[in-house]
Amino acid sequence: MEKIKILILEDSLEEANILQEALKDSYTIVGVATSYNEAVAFYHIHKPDLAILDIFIEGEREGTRFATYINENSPIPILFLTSARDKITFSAAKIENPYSYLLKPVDPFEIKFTIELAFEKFANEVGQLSTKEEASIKINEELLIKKKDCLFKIAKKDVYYVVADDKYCRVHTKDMQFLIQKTLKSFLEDFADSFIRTHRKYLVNKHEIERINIADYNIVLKNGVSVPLSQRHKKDVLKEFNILK
Amino acid sequence: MVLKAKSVFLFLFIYHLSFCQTTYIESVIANECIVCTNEKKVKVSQNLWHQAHLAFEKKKYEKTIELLLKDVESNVCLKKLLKGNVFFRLKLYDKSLMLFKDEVLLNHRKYHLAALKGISEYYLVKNKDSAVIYYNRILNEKNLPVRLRNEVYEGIAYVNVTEEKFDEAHFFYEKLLSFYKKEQDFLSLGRTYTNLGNSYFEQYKDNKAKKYLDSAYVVSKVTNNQKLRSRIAYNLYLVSEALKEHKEAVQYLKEYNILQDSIQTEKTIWKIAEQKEAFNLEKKQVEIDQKTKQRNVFVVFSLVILLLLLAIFWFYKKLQLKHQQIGILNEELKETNALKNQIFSIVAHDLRSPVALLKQKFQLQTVNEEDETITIDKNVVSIIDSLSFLLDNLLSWSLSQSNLLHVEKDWFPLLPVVKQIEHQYKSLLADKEIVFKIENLYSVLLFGDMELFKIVVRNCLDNAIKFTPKGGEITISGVAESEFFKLIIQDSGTGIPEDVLKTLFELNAKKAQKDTQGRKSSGLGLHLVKSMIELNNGTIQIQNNPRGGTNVNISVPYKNIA
Repeated sequence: MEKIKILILEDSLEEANILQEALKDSYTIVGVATSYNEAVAFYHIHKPDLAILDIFIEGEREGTRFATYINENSPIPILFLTSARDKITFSAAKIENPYSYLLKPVDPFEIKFTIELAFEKFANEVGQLSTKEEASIKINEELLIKKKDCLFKIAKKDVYYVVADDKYCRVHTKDMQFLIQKTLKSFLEDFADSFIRTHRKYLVNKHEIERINIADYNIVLKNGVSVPLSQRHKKDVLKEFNILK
Repeated sequence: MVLKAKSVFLFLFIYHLSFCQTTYIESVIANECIVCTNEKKVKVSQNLWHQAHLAFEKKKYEKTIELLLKDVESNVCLKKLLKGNVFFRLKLYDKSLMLFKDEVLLNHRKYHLAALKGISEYYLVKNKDSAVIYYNRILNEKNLPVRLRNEVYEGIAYVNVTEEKFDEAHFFYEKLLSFYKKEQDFLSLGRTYTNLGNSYFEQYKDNKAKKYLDSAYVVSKVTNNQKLRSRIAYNLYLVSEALKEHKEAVQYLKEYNILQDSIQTEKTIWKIAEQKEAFNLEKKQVEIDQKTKQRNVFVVFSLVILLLLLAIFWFYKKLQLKHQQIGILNEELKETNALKNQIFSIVAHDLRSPVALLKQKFQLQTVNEEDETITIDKNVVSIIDSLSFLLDNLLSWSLSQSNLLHVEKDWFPLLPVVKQIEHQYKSLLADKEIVFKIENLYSVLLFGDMELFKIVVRNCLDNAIKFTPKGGEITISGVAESEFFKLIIQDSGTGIPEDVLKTLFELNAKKAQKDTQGRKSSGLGLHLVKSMIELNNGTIQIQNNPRGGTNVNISVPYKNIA
């Protein structure tokens, strides 16, 4: 469970400071770049989850240029910073789609929502996070989770098991659990390669299985938690682990 | 035609210039005609002199005068000469004499002989002695044309006969005879023989007269001139009678009658031909008239068209000028428009940004309360808030008025928008101790421009807070309808009077309502709300809640998400 990593491209120190001030509590700022080259370097070193870009750096459209660079490598959500809601600026920024924008000077409360929106747009699931109290979306190989107005991400490998709970799913990591508004089936569809169904209500990370007790119909995970194994799913599970038979 | 007969018996005495022979004067006049002499190629109808002398030859004297009056090209002396001859033939002798005696004409190198001839002819009528004087004057001239000389001889001979100076007369006649014989001019020969015959007849030398008349008769047969022949025949008849040769006399009388008849017939034929010609001329005239008429119509028509074209051209020029003016005005308008846009952008960036920055500073300051370097009066924050709000409204409104507003429609989540606005009004809500509730807004996406929608909700909430008393309640809830999501902003405030409700969305300061703290609102907010919601394809409805307070219903296209 990690905070969201953000890369900022902004040539005005004052603006950058304000941004940092507004974001530092809820997010990890991996770097504030003041030029295109610097931004590219930070991008490769820190592998940020989101980029906040000022469209104009030293009067040039370096923001949009960097956005093009991101989209050509491994794309991440992009948030444009702009000082005006005028047409010219946006038609220039619009080449990177989907996009979100933030009007300068930034409102510390507004920025949180705009970041959520940028993720939603990136995943093509507008409203999935922002219209709900608790929710999650899949971004690349990670799970983006919203819990009480906070966003954080979990890498696929950190999830031990998932339990279905009515319309929701309860996701268990090594030391935490949280509810997401997602069915077990859609969860499995998203992460089919590393998870296996052991029970009508359980989904288990294959790599976290410590021991399978065939007689007791349960599975002991690496953190000591045991989850049930049903008669129906026993065959599929054993097929995955035929060496341990 | 001058015919003179002294004797009762004599039917005629022939002077010159009869029988269609061209006289000297006629030849002079014709010689001056460029058409007849082929000097230049000129259209016959255009040469007035030609027409005039032709008319003269055809004995149409009035027409000749008319044409002479029109003719301005020909020599004045020449015109006088012709005119004098015309008057002479019309027997206006005194007038003709006046013209012939014109100094310039008499001294004219070319025409003075003709003028002298004219004068002598006048005197031949009036005073024969004077005529002889003039004849002699002509004979004294050098390089006398033969024709004129002969004519003068004949004239002198004629005068001598009338004055019974027969010998002198015979002298001239003999001279003429020898000349005419040489020239083989049978007509003149016949005439001279006749005159000689008549002269002898006058002297009662009937045998001699018969001899000459016989010669004349023989010669005249060659000429085939019926007039001459008839006269000779008649004279022979008279002479034969005088000689008591009745048989011959009867024969000559018969011949005379026959010739007279044929002359009569010829005259009738000529008359008919003339009439025919006149008729044809009339017909031609009608045709010409018609053509002239057509031409006139054509001329008038083309004139009208020309005028029309001119008028069109004039209007076109005028229109062009107007277009130019419009173009100039357009340029000016473009400039002022650009200026206006610039002003808006100044308002947008240079005025709005510092205020927003100020607001941001204070917000961050309140977050870092532990610094406590500056104690922030909450009033300052709310004043900055309302200032920035007003500026935002003003900017959005002016942008929307000038179609500069950037409208980007898309699906956007409803809940965070409302929450954000709630956050902005948190301190104000707390101050007024208003209970604020959000109900039923989860999992809803609205369609439209999010920023415009924010302005709408913010203005509505602003109004609701303004008109809700301390300790009141404001609820923002939603009802999903078939196509539209109805956002209801409900307050427990004072409500709106019915008459104000009707004109609520108009910009009118007079009906501005006072809020709970007694402040007047501008009315700009609601006006803006209406135009923004319309840009978002939505509708807005404001009604008084029967349980007190006001309900603002905003309907916008929506969809639910899983």
